[in-house]
Amino acid sequence: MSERELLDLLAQDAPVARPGLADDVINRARHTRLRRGAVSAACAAVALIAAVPLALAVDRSPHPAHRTTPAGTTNSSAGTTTLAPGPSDTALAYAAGVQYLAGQLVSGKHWRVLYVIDHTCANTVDQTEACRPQPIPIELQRDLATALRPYAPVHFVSGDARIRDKNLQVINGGAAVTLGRITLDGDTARLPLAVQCGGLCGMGQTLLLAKQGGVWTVTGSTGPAWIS
Amino acid sequence: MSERDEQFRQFVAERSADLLRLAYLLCGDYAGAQDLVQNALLRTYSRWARISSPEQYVRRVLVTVAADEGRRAFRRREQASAEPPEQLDARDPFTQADDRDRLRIALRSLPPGQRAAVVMRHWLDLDPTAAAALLNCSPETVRSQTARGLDKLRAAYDVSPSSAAARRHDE
Repeated sequence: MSERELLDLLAQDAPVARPGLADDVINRARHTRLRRGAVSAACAAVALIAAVPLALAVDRSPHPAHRTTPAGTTNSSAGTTTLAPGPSDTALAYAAGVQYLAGQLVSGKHWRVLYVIDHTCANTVDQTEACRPQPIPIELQRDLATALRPYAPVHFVSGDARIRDKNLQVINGGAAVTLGRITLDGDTARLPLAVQCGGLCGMGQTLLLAKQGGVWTVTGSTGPAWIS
Repeated sequence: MSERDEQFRQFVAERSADLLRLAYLLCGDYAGAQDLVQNALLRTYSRWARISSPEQYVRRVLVTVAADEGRRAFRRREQASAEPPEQLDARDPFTQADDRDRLRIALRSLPPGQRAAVVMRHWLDLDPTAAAALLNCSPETVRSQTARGLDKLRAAYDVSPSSAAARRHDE
């Protein structure tokens, strides 16, 4: 039996094409566009609302150095992020989680770049599920890049195939970040995410965060986790 | 109904069966193949106006996403088992499974790159240059990945000429 015949034999078990597949795809694309627009508007509104009290707080700050902090300060071991007004609350929470987990992955390592997948996945931690990708809105991408700038430059990529070398190591001394769907509830958040630097270098966890004094901090984790 | 939607519907009607078979060969999973094709078609639809060859584009997306997903599953198998994932259980070499189950397991045991190369070369009948363009690597890499993948597939499925002849005789 030739290789082609073997593969044809296997392909007989493939799913059959179902009617309505094209319509499902078109409807999903339209729904994603609408949701993207709504999320962008919501992020812009949150950023605007957050900017006002932060601006007032900076103005009243007794420490002029805090006002002139360029892009913020980072304490990677505690997973906190303090920034001047700008990125949305969602972006700040994501950034705190990314810094925490990236710091946990390889203690003390300085990542030269972070490659963030440009869509969230439902299976970031529980890998028995399908990804069911949802694009990350452009505004959130920009805010997240701003929030993480003190930690490492951020590039958004559509998949991690092109950022791996032949040994599956992430290129340019970087780490690949896959974000799950964050759940914000007032001053607390639940964030699944994964950080990888190679075929046997990675971890995924669902982090719990709390905002204290305007700063998002990782307070714990929940549920399953994976390490490779 | 826009012209884009109509063109897209026609493309899906004509090509979805082949795309599902390709996705199934790439990921070896029934539900995964459906997800893979739907996600690839979603990306294709969103870029429809800018794509000159939808077939080529959606194949590239399938291969890329399947490789991403395959690497995650590959690592998951490494975490869950003390044995290398591509090693099959020597105590029970598929005596109870039928031919297609054995083949599916053997194909899934290949690393994503080798699996994709084997499928590109021997199911899509692409030459090394065309396969390399889809897989974003060099033709030499395609050749070596295909050779390694076929060696493992033959070893796992036991399709040496003598065993293939014996099987035909038994049938």
